[in-house]
Amino acid sequence: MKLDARCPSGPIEQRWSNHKMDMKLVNPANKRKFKIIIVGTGLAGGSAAATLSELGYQVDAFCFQDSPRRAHSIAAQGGINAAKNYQNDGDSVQRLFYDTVKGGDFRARESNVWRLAEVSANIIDQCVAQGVPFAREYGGHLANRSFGGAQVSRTFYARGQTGQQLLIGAYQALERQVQAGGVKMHTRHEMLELVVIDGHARGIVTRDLVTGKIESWAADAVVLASGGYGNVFYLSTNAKGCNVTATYRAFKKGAGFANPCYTQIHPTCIPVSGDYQSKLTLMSESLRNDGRVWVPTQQGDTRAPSQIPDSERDYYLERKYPSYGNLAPRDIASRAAKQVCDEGRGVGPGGRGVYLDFGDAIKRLGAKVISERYGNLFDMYTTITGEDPYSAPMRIYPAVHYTMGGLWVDYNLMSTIPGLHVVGEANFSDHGANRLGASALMQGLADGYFILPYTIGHYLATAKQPKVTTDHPEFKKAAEDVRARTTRFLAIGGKRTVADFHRTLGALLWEKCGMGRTEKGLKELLQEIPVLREEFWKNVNVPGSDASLNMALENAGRVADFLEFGELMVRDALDRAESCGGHFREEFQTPDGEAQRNDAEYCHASVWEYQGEGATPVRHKEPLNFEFVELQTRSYK
Amino acid sequence: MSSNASDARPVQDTTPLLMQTWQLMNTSIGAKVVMAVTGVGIWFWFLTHMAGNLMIYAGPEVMNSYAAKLHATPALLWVARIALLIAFPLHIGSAIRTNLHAKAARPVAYAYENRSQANPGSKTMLISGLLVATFILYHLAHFTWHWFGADNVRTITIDGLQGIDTYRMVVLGFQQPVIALIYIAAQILLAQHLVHGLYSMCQHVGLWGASWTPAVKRAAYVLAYGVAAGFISIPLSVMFGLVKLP
Amino acid sequence: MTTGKTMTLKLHVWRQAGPNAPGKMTDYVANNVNEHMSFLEMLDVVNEELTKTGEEPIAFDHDCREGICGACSMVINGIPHGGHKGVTACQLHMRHFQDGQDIYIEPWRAKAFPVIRDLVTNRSAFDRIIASGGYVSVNTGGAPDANALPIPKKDADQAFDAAACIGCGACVAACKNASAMLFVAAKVSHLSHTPQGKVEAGDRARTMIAQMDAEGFGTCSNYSQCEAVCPKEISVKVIADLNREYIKSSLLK
Ligand SMILES: Cc1cc2nc3c(=O)[nH]c(=O)nc-3n(C[C@H](O)[C@H](O)[C@H](O)COP(=O)(O)OP(=O)(O)OC[C@H]3O[C@@H](n4cnc5c(N)ncnc54)[C@H](O)[C@@H]3O)c2cc1C
Ligand code: HEM
Ligand code: HEM
Ligand code: SF4
Ligand code: F3S
Ligand code: FES
Repeated sequence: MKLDARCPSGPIEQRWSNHKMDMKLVNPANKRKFKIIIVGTGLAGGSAAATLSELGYQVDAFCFQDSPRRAHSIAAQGGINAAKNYQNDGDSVQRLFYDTVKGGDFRARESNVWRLAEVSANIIDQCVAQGVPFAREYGGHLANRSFGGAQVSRTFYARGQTGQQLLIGAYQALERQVQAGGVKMHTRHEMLELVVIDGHARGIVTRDLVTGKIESWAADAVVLASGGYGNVFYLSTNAKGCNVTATYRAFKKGAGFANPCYTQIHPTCIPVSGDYQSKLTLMSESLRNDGRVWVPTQQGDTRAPSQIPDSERDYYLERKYPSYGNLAPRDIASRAAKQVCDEGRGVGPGGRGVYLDFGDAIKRLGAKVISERYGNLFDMYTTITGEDPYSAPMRIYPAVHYTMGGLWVDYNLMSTIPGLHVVGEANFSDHGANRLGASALMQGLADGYFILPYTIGHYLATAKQPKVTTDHPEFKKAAEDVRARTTRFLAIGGKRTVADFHRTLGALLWEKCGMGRTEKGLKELLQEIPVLREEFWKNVNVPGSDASLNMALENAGRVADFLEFGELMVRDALDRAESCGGHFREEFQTPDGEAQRNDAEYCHASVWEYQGEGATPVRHKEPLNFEFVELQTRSYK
Repeated sequence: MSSNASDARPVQDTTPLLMQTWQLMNTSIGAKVVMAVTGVGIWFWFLTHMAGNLMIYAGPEVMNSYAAKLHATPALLWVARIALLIAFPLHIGSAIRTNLHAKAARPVAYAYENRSQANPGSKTMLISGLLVATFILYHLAHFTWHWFGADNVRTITIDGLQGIDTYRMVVLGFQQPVIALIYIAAQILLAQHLVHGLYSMCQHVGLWGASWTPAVKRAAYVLAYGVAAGFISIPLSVMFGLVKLP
Repeated sequence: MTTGKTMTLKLHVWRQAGPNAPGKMTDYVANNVNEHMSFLEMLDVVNEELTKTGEEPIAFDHDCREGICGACSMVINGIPHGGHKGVTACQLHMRHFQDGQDIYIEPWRAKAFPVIRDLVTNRSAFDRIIASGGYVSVNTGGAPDANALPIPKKDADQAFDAAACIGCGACVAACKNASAMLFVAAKVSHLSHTPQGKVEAGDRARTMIAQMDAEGFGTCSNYSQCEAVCPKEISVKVIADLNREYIKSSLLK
């Protein structure tokens, strides 16, 4: 596997414009002759589909939900970053670039990050033009707030529903193109195979989730925008349907998978309440703007929070990280919470929780202001827990939230399979080992609106592949594989449900490959996961038929892939003998418990190559060079 | 426009105005606008009718001279009648059509009845409306066409004009308790119809304000039941002998 | 570590094997329901039990499970999403139910939302309504600076109030006429309260209503049942906004 990142050289601020000049163009009249498949209609896929159709390409878009508007991006709450410097607080492309590289713990590619920061401003312009109702000041101008890992206010937001509003903007642009005939939208279709012909990605095989029909689709290029794999942990803040299937199937067809071990644990989620729990709910990071995080100084203090005087409270983030305080980046804040709970100072059932307290903010600003800022989040908290955060502090605990790892892509967002492009959370590109808050939306839309539409043209103009149809033997074979797998699930007739296996896998990974990882734990997982997988294939119970809507069957496919992918993730975590960003190897920490990177040996992206059923995948390295930001220990003190 | 795909919006149509009106009526909102406009029309006429009827308290001369003058200006009378003859069918026609449409929109009913908030009066508009229509026919048969109660009709000359003794006809009519009760019941039904009607009318033509919409809802009650009270007072007064033949 | 009290519930659930299969209400007993469970978690537990006995689980749409994707869609005791103000079925918690209670669970009922299976319906009519005009006609690129055109906070807030619609379809399910007015109106009102969307406000209202009618939704008689069940508490004010845009544009076109 050759990893050529195709990064332009020269002054970093000119790389993207130079690159745009260097890329080949497709003649406008020829664009309609090219067909592009896009899997996923979240911010990344939805924006890409709309934009490519506007340019004149023929787009076939797929999602497994009943409407493109329901992609998981809809759930993003807090906001989207952009280097607009509307607040005159010293923000710039350079600062956003710097924050992102540093926030990613120096494990991202500089050229990509600069480009991301550069186009971030255009995203806001575009969204406003679509009618996205961002928050505004009384003067009618856009409002901003600050997010973890930044000392400027560059986050644009739409109450607590930023992802929803941005996605609706992209979805409407997409539906406009559906009406215009440029996009064919296939909802309730799940991609189950990638088809590679002569080394190029030429199509996919899907299952119609309503009729069970297995269909093949041919194209000139394929784009995966299928989101992240956080649900490998079973419990996460991701929507229930989020999965690794699309990217993992591509991995099995030869696409390199980069840094699978980089997962982000979000510090502010509602704690688990029982074994029946099906997912975790995020309380937006924006809450940390006004909320103060604390636990009792005393172990096992069971007094009600209001009974604990200030002197017996440990505002541990403010204490440890005075300059960032409650806004310390996610990985750091999460670990700090785990630490205090491990010390026995956690609160709530099971001692797995810390307080997020608005008492001071309410005193300072009044309940009305707080409710204007966070009203819907407070309501959500009350709905779920039955408690009122205006009168008692919220209880929060970290939960799996985002995955920085993903399919490896070059500067053109193309994977190691020519023609297979990957955008949004599905790729590994811009966040290194840790993503800053409000940067995923930015990346998804940057990829979809402003980057892929240029770079995919270059591929189409230069690849010069002959047209193929779905009669090609590779399509037949892929469809046959899909059919065989579905039949196999239904034939097992075992005793355990799919969810049961998923829960077991999740618990194992959370325990040993979650917030803290050790060589010992990871090695155990490498034994345990294959055993679980074997049992799955013998003892899973998938009722029903493959000729109709069958939720158990859908999930069986996703969990089967998680059971393989989980192992890849563990392998990567074991291989990376350093701590960086979201990857914390307990063996590698400073005396005061901070992550200790090993730049001499691990300043690279690890890219895994599939070697066939049962064989250990091979790791390749893409070395990372830091020319513009000096490699330094990341400190938020 | 850089798009190769043609833009989604349809081109402006150049259909003639009458045709456009017809098309408008055939859309869901258009049909409701028709209901609103005809509803207002009927409502205005209705207020005038009440004012006329209340003259009964001023005694036979006043009332009969009013009626006679009205009949002596056929232009006015017929303008009003024609307006009504257009308004009623449109109002009823739209009502029936949109209701059929709504029925078709939910072919399978819920097993458990929907108990979510809705004013019961609002859900029975068609029924209350059709009952009112039946009443109106009955009423016309009685007071306009004289199909029954004709014995009570007497021609008189007043202010030099020929006319019927309306006062006498009404009083003798309402002295029969059954007839009086039918009228009273009909007014209550009509008030029900109007309560939702008045609010709905505003909504259908796009009038809405955070502060005054709740006021409109309250005003609708006052107006509808106020008017009904005005009408009802007549049969009641006759029944209790407050209004009688001189 | 599970805390909270448990209860037993008597469920009556609409089961229908496929779009053309007949359906019927079927009874189940849900044991060990914890008060902190969400309604969907309760169904998960029932489904796991069903699966173990070899019966097919009850199909229902869901994804985010936090009240924002608009996928979950079930009528609970006659009320879409169960009738707790501002809450979707996935956010409805079992603490609002009593031990031993009967619960009726049915799919959205509307001709324009045909049942696919059990509680799952086909809501693509909503996508087609959006496609018919629910957008600002702007291509990617070339947008002016986002602050070039200030938008009064009041307008931005009103736009947002309407834009909060999650496209769940509860409004249709609740409306006696199975009308999609609240959904359509929310979109029209959102976009016509931004200067960018105002430009084509009239055309938008007309094309979207034409599509709504073509999909077979009922007409609006201002029952306000939609407003009562809307999980995003969208006010019927938006319907007046839509009517106004519609009438204005029909008269002025
Ligand atoms: C609760 C929560 C809050 C967040 N808040 C923020 C925030 O405030 N700011 C921020 O920047 N980021 C936030 N994030 C992260 C951000 O929302 C996501 O990273 C981002 O939306 C991912 O977008 P995407 O387009 O890559 O993928 P998604 O939105 O996940 O879309 C995936 C698409 O792929 C489709 N798909 C997947 N697999 C298949 C398949 N096999 N076949 C067919 N289709 C498939 C799905 O149907 C869907 O359309 C948040 C995340 C969560 C979980
Ligand atoms: C004669 C038979 C009648 C029938 C069948 C009828 C039927 C209806 C129906 C079904 C509506 C509901 C409109 C909606 O869905 O929102 C309605 C509204 C209304 N009706 Fe009638 N009605 C009748 C008579 C009257 C009379 C006599 C009056 C007035 C005196 C009247 C005034 C109104 C008004 C003002 C409305 C509100 C219009 C709107 O919703 O915009 N109706 N009618
Ligand atoms: C107590 C109540 C009422 C009284 C005393 C009353 C009285 C009368 C009288 C006397 C006439 C005949 C007028 C004439 O031909 O000179 C008349 C006509 C009529 N009334 Fe009433 N009315 C009452 C209520 C109503 C109501 C509630 C309605 C309708 C909703 C109504 C609708 C009509 C109509 C349509 C006519 C025919 C008008 C015409 O000839 O053009 N009336 N009424
Ligand atoms: S208007 Fe409310 S009920 Fe209707 S689809 Fe939107 S969110 Fe759901
Ligand atoms: S309930 Fe139905 S009638 Fe109109 S106000 Fe709502 S759509
Ligand atoms: S599952 Fe997303 S709103 Fe209920």
